[in-house]
Order: sequence, then C-alpha cells, then structure tokens
Amino acid sequence: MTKKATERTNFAEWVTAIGVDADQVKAAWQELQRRGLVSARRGKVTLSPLAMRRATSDVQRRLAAHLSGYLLTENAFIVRRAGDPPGLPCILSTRIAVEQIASYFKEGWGVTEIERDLSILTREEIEAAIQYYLNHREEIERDRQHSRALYEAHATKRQTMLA
Amino acid sequence: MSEETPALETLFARLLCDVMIPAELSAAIRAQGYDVAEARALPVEIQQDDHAILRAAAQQRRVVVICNYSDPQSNFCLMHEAWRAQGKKYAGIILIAQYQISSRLGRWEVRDRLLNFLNQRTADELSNQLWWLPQE
Repeated sequence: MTKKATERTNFAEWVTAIGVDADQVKAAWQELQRRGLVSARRGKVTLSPLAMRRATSDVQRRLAAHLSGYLLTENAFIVRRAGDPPGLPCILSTRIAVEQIASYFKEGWGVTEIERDLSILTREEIEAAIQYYLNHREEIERDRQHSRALYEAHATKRQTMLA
Repeated sequence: MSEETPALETLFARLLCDVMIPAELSAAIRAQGYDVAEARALPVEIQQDDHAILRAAAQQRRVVVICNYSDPQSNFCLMHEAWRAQGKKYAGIILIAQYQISSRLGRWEVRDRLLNFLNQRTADELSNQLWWLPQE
C-alpha cells in the first residue's frame, strides 16, 4: 500500500482488529495486493472472494476476514458473522460451523475422513475447528444442544402420508 | 409450464445440497434418480453467501438442502421469512439436522427419510416452503 492509500483507508482500525503490529498488517496488505486479491481506490477497498482462501499467513487471513466484515477469533481460520447477536463460530469463507466439525470429532472421525466428506475444507481448516472446539468446549456444546433442540422442536416425529 | 424455463419444470424436486452436506449423502440421493447439484461446485463467491445460494437455487428451480437453522447470522428460517415477506419465489428449503449427518450410521437414516419425504411430494408442493426433515 502506498502511504497515501494507507492514510485514506482505515488502516489504524485494521491494526486494532487484527491485533498485531502495524508493520505486519502493512506487509500482509502489500502481499494480498501484489497477488491481486485486494485493492484500494479512493479509500474504497475491494476484496476478491478468493482472498480468504488464498491468504498464505494468519495475518493475511485475518486481514482478509476483517475486510470481509467477519468478527475474528483467536484462531485465524475461525470467524463469526457480524450482527446482533453475532453469528456462531464457523470456518472462514465456508459457512461450515465449528459445531459440525465438533460433531464429527466426537463421533470419532479422523481429519482425513472429514476432509474426504466435506471436500471444500483443507486439513488445516479442519484441525483449526477441532482446536477451537477443544478450547471452547462449553460454548460449542451449548451451540450443539441448541441446534439439536431446535430441530427436535420443529421437525415432525413421523412422515405423514399425503391423502 | 413456464415459457422461459421449460426444461426446469419437473414433477419431483431437483436439489441443491449446500456445502455442509456430505458428498456421499448427495450421491446417495442422486443414485435414486434425483437431479442433485452441489454448492461446492458453484463459484466461491456464491458458496460464501447464504442469499447467493438461495438465489442460485431459485434460478435453477432447486430445493436447497441445508443444516443452517440455528446460527442467528446464517439462518435459512429467517431467510425463508424474509423472502416470503418480499414475495420472492424459490423452489423450497429442506432443513436437516447437522448432528445426524456427522454420524456414520445416522446419515443413512437421513438419506432414507429424505427419500421418503421427496418421493411423497411434488416439486410444486415444496416450492416457497420451509421444511424440517421429519424425525422418523
């Protein structure tokens, strides 16, 4: 990013959101820009939909996720959608919830099996979701129970034959 | 039959399985003669966006099969209400329980229940409706 572009975009806010020093954020921006994944014109940032998946470091990943409007967690692969209330933790750019990977993990699925089952995920992403689950067991278990209860409350017990 | 898209009118539903539905499950439904597309094959900008998924499904007259009903910010129950309020048309949404498809055995029961469900309803009956896959 040129000095001017840095001034026009909300650079200080990015640094705060990402939680690393300004030089690292600047280097991440420059690398994403060099690879054509982000651009800034008159203070307006444009982001490729591939930016999050093609990021090659955690800082790049976090920057791309922040610029896409996600709320970051301590894990660069795990984000929430912004809003009130915010979304549940999910794997960056996939719409697959940590809760689902936790269910696989608890059922005894290995990372390779999960990777084969949900082929849009990489090994790194699956491991990140499992790690997030292990660090936030109570929260994710609550999410799992909540979605189970919702399903059981709404889904009819039996298939009804049509007349 | 609509003049614009005659090829898309079918008696039974065509499906779009979202990215969290295992490929094995989509293949099992396809093996029973259903036309099943998978969101993983769509462009990445569509895969990342709930509204884009529902729009793509609506354009292709496909019922979306998905597990996202409990996330307040990625919620097809809320989208169904919003789309209905705006009078937007789509082919239907079927919600299935995520915890059942991540079970090695449970997913085959889901397949059977989904097939029972689809075999008993026409595409017309499913359209513009939100369905929770019955538990038995």
